[in-house]
Amino acid sequence: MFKYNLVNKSVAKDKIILKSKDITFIKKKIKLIYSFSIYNGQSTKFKNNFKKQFNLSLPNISEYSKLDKITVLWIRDNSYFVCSDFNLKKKFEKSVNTFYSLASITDQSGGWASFFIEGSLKKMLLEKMINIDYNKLSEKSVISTSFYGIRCLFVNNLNINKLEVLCPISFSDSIEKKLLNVINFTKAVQSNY
Amino acid sequence: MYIEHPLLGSRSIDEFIYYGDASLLKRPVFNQNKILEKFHKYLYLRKNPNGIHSELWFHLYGDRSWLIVERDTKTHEIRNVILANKELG
Amino acid sequence: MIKNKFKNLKTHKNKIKFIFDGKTMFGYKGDTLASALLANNINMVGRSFKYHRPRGIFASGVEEPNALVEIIEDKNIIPNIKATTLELYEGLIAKSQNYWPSLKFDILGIFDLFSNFLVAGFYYKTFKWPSFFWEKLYEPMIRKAAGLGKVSTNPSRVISEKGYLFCDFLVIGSGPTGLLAALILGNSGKSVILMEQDFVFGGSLNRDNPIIDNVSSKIWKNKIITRLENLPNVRTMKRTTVLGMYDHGSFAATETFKKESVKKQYQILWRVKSKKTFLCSGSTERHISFQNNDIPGIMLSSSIREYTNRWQLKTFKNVVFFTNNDYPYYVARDLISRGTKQVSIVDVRKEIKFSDPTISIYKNAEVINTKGKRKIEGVFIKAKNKPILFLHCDTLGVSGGWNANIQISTHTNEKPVWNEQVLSFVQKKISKNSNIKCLGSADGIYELNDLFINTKKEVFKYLKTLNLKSKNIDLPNVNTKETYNIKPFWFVKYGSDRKWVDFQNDVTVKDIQISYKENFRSIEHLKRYSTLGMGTDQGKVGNIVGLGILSEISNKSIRNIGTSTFRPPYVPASIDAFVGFTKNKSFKAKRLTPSHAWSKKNNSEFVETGLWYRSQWYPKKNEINWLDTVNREVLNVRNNVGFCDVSTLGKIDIQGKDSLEFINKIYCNNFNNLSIGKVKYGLMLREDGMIMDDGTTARLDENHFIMTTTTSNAEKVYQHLEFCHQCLWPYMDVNLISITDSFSQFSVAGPNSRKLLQSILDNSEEISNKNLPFMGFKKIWLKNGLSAKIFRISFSGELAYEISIETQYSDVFLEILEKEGKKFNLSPYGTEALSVLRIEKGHISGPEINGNTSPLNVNMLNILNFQKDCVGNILFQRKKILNNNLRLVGLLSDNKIHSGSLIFDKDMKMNSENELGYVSSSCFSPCLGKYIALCFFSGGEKYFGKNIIVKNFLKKYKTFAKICSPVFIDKEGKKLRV
Repeated sequence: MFKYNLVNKSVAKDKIILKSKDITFIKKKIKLIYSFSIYNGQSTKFKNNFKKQFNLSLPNISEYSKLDKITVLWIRDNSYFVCSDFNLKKKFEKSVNTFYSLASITDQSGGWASFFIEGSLKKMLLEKMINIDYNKLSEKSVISTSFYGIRCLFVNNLNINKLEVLCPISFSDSIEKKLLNVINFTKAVQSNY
Repeated sequence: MYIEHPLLGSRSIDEFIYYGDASLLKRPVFNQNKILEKFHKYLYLRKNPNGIHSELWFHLYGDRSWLIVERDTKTHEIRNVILANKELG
Repeated sequence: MIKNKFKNLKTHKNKIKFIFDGKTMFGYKGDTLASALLANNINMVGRSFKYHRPRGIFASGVEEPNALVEIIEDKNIIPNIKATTLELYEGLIAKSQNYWPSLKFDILGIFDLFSNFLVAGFYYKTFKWPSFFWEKLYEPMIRKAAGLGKVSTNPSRVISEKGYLFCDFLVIGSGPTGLLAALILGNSGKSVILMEQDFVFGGSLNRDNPIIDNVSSKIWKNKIITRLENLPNVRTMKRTTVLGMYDHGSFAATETFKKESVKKQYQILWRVKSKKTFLCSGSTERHISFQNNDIPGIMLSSSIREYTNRWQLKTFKNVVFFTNNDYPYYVARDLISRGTKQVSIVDVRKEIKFSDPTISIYKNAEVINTKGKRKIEGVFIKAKNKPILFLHCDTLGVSGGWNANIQISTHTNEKPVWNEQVLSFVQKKISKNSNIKCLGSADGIYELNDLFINTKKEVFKYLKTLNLKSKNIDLPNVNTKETYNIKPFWFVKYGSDRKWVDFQNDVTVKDIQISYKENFRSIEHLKRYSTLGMGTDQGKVGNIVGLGILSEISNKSIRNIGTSTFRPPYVPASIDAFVGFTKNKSFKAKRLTPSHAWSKKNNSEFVETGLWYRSQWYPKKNEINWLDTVNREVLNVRNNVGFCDVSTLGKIDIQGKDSLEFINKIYCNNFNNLSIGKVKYGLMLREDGMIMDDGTTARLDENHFIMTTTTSNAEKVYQHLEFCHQCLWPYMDVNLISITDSFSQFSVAGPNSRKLLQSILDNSEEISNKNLPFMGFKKIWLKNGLSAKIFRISFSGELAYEISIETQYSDVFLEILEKEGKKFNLSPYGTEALSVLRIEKGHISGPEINGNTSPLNVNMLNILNFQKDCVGNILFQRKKILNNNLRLVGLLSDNKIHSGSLIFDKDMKMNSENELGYVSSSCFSPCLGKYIALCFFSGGEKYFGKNIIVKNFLKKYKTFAKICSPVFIDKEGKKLRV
């Protein structure tokens, strides 16, 4: 059972933190996130059922796949996050029910904060955030790494100036502050390049 | 320092936690003769090489996988990295 | 004749105003503070470290030992900034250092008179006795006199961030070598980063002004730079200093940005990872040691050249050079072409190929002394078989040869080798697999044509080994060839003393001789005993001179003496760069609980538990003392109902058909009898048999469990579970997911807890005592339709429940709870009250799980299951652990008991032999009206009733207490099952 109108106010709506011509920084409203960890020997059945339910193939290592409102993030070996709009939860649950013997499932929706960064400064921002050569990764990648001492997920498309940062909800205030600091710093020094 | 993760590629050492010697993988089987001595040896006695060392690292900030890393303690060169659960499983 | 392009820049538009030592002066865009000071005829810029000798600008780059100034911005002082690398900006306020009361008249200059006593080893020999004088007199005295600049305690105005760069090729240095190398590498198509520490590209080209391909070096350099900037795979970075080389091809570098005026200074600390690095850092000139070789007006000959060519200075009117090689002859030509009237060269060599009528040359001669105190007036020259001559001059340029700047390549322990031809250390033995390669004059190749030939050859050779191709580049042709012809010469024998080797640390030839005499003869010992090379300049101009002197004194070749280890940073780096954003309140991320906003609104005080901010207590307006608040919260739980946010405890979701087997191997007590809908206490051991953590695990379904851990051990336990799964039992079909953040958890405890919860449930019967007995679990629905999990477990010892609801609904849950709670006198309680409640109940927690306690110590031997394989139950059975007689007991007292206090018998002496135990947790119990504690005591239960002494040596405190059961409240556990 779920009630969208009862969610915490702090995650009920998108919040625009910064908007300028070269960068937009938004704290997103709550997302629907389910974690699936496939049981031993159920990989093939899981892949097939997944295709059937969501019409989407599972992403490769460190990648994400997306179709309409569903995004699948590779988290670890045989483990994925399936993300969607929170208000589609009812419909989603029906699909989720078909997986119970194939994978362990947990509802992670309330556990993550999502930040959205868009703009021409994205490249310069990324090189100040993560110690990863993301240019060598695939076009659509999910990078799990340490940011401000916290394990965060960076969802990045090389060809688009958009970036999503996911962090545990208990750290959302601190991560917001840190992201804003990196953005303001990059804006201040960009004229020097 | 960087560790070449078998699935994720080159990752900085800050993403990992060092645990100890890879001999910790060989936990003695329960209900054997002299089990107390075997466990004592398992937990406390190990070699301390000046050279290639097989060790366990936990990828805390990445995919939470356990890795067996072969590292030269003298030159810090990392020779080989494999997933721990693939080694035994 | 080369046109003075720079002259055009000296227009009014580019004029910059700055203040030095209180005087307003002007310089131009592109100046450093040093070039501007020299242009303004400022010669004395500081006093030396030990002897407080007047010192002037010696060099023109990072090798500068003397001209360290402090910059003043608002109330902030930044000390020890090299004037030679400080880019001049509008509004700069700088001050010289290390004197009192004024630079001109420094009282501590008196140290110079006692130089005979202040030699190497002075501190060790003098301040020995009496030893108690050290703390009270010697140390404060030395501290006051020591150091160069002052430190400000005001917050820095530098804004730093961290950054991460990756490339195939890193080129360090943008002189002729670096530019050519970067171009060839860039043309291969691979990613290239070129880093230059200066604020302009060009390196030695800006100083020596060679003609290349029949154009000025400036035109040649700009052509290359344009080509580099047009390559999309090449990134050029100015003002970026590489600090050090680390493992696996990683480097640290700081990048600063042009400062237009006194505004915020931005800085980035880059971590660069490159597949191959080319060190094109050039070489640095060294000096020669002779009597009084340190006064203002004496400079490196290369610096005179740079001030003349790059910054168009005309202040050198009457110049003498002292040299052992050809370089100053070319400097002399540049000076004369720019209008210097008088130039003389004192050359130690017998055979010299130059014969220039405009220069006075003294062959086979040495400078044996100088005249002048605050500015050089002239030099004393002694040629072989000739009388001593005095020459007037306003500048003396010294040239003892060139040191290849190999320092960065030695940071990972590659030892350089002394090259007898060029008289410099070079990296010849570097392993093929090494990430770094030295090129150009950093590799000991000083002549420009040779440098270009060698660089092109080496870079193409390297690319071939990778099967990479690069567009062929015509070899640049250097029209102005300059020769070297160095003869080894380290110091002048004439004169007894006052011959400086290391200017920054005031180390003389005599100090080296004393070190040698007192048997500190290896280079590492010499360095530390004399402090040669230990200043902020890391001995860039003086180390090799010192080494040459040691070689002569000891009759050992430099090759055999070797060099001391260089360590990062290559130049001083501000701590700001390493701190970045993480300072003050942002030092660590803050982890907030779901009830944080609610708690703040309700006046809660917070306490830091690791990264978490937890509510410690919720004071009411009339409560002044925290103890009153905590006592009220505790009594309210015992008498009515209270609630506490326990979301911080680790929650791990365990699913899979081998879950039960897995859990049974993790806990030392039996879990096979845990049925669906039940919760069980679990004790987790380390492999060595000591307690790691405790918690509860609930069975939601056949193959679905939720395990809780203590707050502080959540990460550790998760790591341990993953270790056991992936490393010990990878065949098990079990998945572990942390759900600590996904679910908020609240404890509702007290005699009225059930009634309160029933009033917010859809169906109140669900949690009746029959339907939800003690240690049971259920899924429930609130009246508003939200579902939640309810666990009937109690940390406080009262009738209690823990409700787990998805984090996104925590606000509305708190709202409902608060509203309905009014009828039952519900009030929140924080971590302090939580602690008091559990101590009263005798429940162990963090302080008892201190890493040194086994299940036996906490009276839980009876729950251990030895029939199964689980972590820790084998090594627990070691004699030493089984024979340990410490047992958890309670203490009761009328007076305060402190945690960590030690227990003694009333009749025995209080020493370590007679220690009977220690206190782990303590508090005031409002229920009993007494002070209570949990304590590990030798012997345990049979001493109940005994009076003992509780002693705290650190607090110098002692009290009496009675040993009793650790369960102070409801020993039979009746309240739990009501």
